Amino acid sequence: MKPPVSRRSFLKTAGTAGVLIPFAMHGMPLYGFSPRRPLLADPSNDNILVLIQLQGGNDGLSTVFHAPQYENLNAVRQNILVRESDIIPVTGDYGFHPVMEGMKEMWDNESLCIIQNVGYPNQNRSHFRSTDIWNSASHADEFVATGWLGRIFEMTHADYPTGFPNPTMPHPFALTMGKIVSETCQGIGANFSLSLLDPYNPGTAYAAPRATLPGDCYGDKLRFVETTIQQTNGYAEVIKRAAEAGSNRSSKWETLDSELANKLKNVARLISGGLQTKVYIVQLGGFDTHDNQVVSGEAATGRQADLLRELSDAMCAFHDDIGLLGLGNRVAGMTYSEFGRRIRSNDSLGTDHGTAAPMFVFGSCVRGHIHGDHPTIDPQVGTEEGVPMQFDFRNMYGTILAHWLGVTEQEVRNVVYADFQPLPIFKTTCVDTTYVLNTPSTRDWIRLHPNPVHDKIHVTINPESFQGTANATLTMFDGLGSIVDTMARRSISSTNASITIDVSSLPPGAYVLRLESRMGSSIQRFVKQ
Amino acid sequence: MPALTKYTGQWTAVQARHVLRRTVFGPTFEMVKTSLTQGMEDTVSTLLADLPEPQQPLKSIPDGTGSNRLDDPGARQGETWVNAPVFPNINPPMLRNRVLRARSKSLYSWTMLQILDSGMNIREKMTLFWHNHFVVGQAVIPHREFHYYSLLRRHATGNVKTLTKAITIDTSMLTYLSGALNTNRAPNENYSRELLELFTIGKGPLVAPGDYTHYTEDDVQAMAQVLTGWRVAPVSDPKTLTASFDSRRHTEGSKTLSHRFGKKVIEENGADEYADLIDVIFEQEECSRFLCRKIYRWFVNSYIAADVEQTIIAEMAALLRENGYSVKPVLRALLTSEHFYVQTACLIKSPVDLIFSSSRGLNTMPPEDGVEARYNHAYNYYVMAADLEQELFQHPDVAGWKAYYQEPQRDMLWINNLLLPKRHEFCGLLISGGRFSFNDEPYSVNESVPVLDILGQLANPSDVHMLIDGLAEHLFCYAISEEQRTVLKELLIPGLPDYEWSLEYSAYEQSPNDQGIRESIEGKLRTLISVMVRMSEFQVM
Repeated sequence: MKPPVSRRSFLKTAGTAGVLIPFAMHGMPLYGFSPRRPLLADPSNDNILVLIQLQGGNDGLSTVFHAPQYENLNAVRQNILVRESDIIPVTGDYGFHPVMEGMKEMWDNESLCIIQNVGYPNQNRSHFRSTDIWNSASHADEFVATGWLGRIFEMTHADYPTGFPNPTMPHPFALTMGKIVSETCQGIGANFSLSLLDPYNPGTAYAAPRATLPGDCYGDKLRFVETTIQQTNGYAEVIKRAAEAGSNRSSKWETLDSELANKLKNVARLISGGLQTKVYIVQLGGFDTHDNQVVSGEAATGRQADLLRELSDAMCAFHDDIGLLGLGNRVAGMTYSEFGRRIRSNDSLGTDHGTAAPMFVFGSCVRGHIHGDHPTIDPQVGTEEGVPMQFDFRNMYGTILAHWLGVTEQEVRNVVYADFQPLPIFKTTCVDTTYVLNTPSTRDWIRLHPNPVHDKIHVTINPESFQGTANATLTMFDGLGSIVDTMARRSISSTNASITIDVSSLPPGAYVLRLESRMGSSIQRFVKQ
Repeated sequence: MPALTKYTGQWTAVQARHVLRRTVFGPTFEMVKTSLTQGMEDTVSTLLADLPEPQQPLKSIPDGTGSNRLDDPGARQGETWVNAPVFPNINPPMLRNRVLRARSKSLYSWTMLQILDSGMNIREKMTLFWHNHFVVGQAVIPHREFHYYSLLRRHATGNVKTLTKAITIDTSMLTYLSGALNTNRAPNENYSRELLELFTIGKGPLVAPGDYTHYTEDDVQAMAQVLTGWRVAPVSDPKTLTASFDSRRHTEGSKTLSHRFGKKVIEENGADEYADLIDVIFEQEECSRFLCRKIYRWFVNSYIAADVEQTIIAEMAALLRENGYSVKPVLRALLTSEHFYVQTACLIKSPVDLIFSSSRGLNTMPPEDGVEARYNHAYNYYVMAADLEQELFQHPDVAGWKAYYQEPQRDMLWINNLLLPKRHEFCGLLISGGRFSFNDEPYSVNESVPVLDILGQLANPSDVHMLIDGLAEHLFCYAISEEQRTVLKELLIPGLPDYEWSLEYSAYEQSPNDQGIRESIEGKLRTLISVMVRMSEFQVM
């Protein structure tokens, strides 16, 4: 087990194998012996994040199953539902899509964490807008042009890209394994990520006679091109050397030849070769399964199955490789997708844009458990309804930053999410944290009656939900995930843990009440008649 | 003061090159001269003139069997395959796939050839604009792609409302956005959502549950109902290229839109109902603004300042509405406006702009020795653009190329540490010729820039300064610095005084057939130009 990292420690853990390999291989350091400045604020933190973006909106209800819900799923999405006997049992009543053997293996190794029902209030069902929201970590109704990781890098490196790379900071901040850089790393001045296809040949730009840079937008564009040339050439050598110094050890790669597998294999190689890049982004597209999500009559096959297999196999091989390379305690990965899909399938063997979905975090330091409630399926669910959100995605980001990448809680609140509440994602043995990480069952936090309701609904809140803290937020969403009403920051105690809400003016339909406190969050659905 | 005030300043090569770069891919020296003679009004009239429909794409691969030969049952080499069966009855299916792939390749090459053949005209730039606006994904069936792209070309500077109606029931679009699956029993809102969000009115801020300012979720559903009933016949059916309306699959009755459309009712109107709906959407002022913002970003600046939105966009939009959504009057007003000519040149060149400015813009001509060579020449351009992330007929998603919408980088997305070296590589290849590969396939650039011909286009090529400046003016937006000129001069006359170039050049002029002198002049010039097209200034227009 990795000893807890003491944050802000001045004892630099630069003696890890990852940093030393290129020294040993080439007999000389990559950039002389200049003292290194960290890519993020905490010099003792050498952890790495791998983001896997599932583009198009993955159908979470066909990814993670809960046995008692199977019959209800059969009532609302029979044409795309995999056979119950094909589902891979995972733990208790939980199971995975039949193609996810690799992720089952990771689960068995206690290296896979599943957070259920992740989304955001006022779900936007446009791919582009919702992707922007996820990449920027903005509220649904604000437009933020920078990425969540870009802003974090910006905190300590506001001067970027001017003067980068340099002898004290020779490594790229982030690498997107594709032709276009990820929006997550967009800073104010530039994107903190480079693009990489072939680590052995990162490409060099022709350094033509330098331009003069006028102070107008023409000058801005010229400066951008000049900076790109400088960065391309400046970082190319360090990437190439890491690729040459690195290796892959897992035999699982041998049977894989998918694009995702090849990208993750390169990531493992670069990390093992000593590249100190903090964030790697890989993308897997094609999850927008409006039609032919499954093959008719063979629901365990088809487009989503192919994608989930690619994801699961590649993720498992990567994890295995990282472990064999002795890097397990430094690398964690997370999937994300712009939304989940509708609960009811459509008649084209597909599903339309929905709301929340499960997220996966993986790595040796990740706590192997399923956090959050399994989605409860009403056989009468409306065609428009998605899975309601329980956890805000920015709490995922915040937890990664605070518990894994050495950013302080206050910085997370300042830069990513003012209402940040950490989630139990990492093993306490791996990370130093003062946060409360116990995970009380939240299922019975809210009780509602009557349900269905005509005019007044009585809400009873379990005192466990606000134990030790008086602040809780109760939010009401409609079936599309839009906020109907917020009883914001209501101070709840044993004297007012029972609330009556007048819903007589609401249009008939399904609604969700969500309670969020320092202890966690919980959702309950009701139907207004 | 009206915003789109007419430009009344001098008409010099600077203005001529500016309007040509924005409207034509890789304008030539000849076009700049024509424009200087014509002046602004006539230049813009020339650019906006209607052109006849082009010749149809030809089968370019030789007939026969073997690795570089193929028989298409509907067309021999040099004939068009457009009149052949859409899905030829060939066995085994592998062979049919080869025929279909060859047709696609012919179509993509032909699309690039249209850029070369349309001369000093805006049509191909507008066609590509619509291609990026009405995205249909890869259609797999070349005939569909041909019909779709031809539709865009036919309406390139025509009426956008008419085009929207046509594209709504185009078989590529019905297939791509699930319109053909949209029925009364199984409504599919895929198309109606994109029709609003991306094609006509745009999504505003979410101001109430399901209310995106310009339309609501209820509108998406109501419009999906309006659009029910359209079908696409299977590829084996001769009617597969024309959609048909099946009233049994159509949701009967009137459909009511939200308060965002004034609670307008679309009455039951069978096969014409979709057109009624599009008329209603285009009645909204926001629709004209949305489209004009996109036109502005394509032609002027990827960034729209607040005052530009208030003035230029508002006036363009008013003009578009006044003209019943005909695009040409808006383009004319924009391209002859003061605003257009005072804008500094600050668009990063798209891959297609980059490729044509370092080939056609430097007088490279496609070979004339046969259809195969001509099509292969053009196919290189298609492949290079694809490798630079502008693959025609294959957008990354329905919103089109990211460089035209993703904030905050927009056009800067064409360039990053991976794409810039490739841009440099391709520009160099187009000047000097050579080989490259894409997706493990080898390609060869056989026609290089005729550098000696270019000398004839310059005012005084025997003066080394005027030579470099003349090239710089043609290639860049602004004059280069003294330091840059010195570096470039070193490429021609390393360590020698300026007059040595004049001597060498006059020796060439006196004996143009002396192979030794000719090749040394040509080599020097080629090196110079291949460096210039890799200068940062060349990336901007």
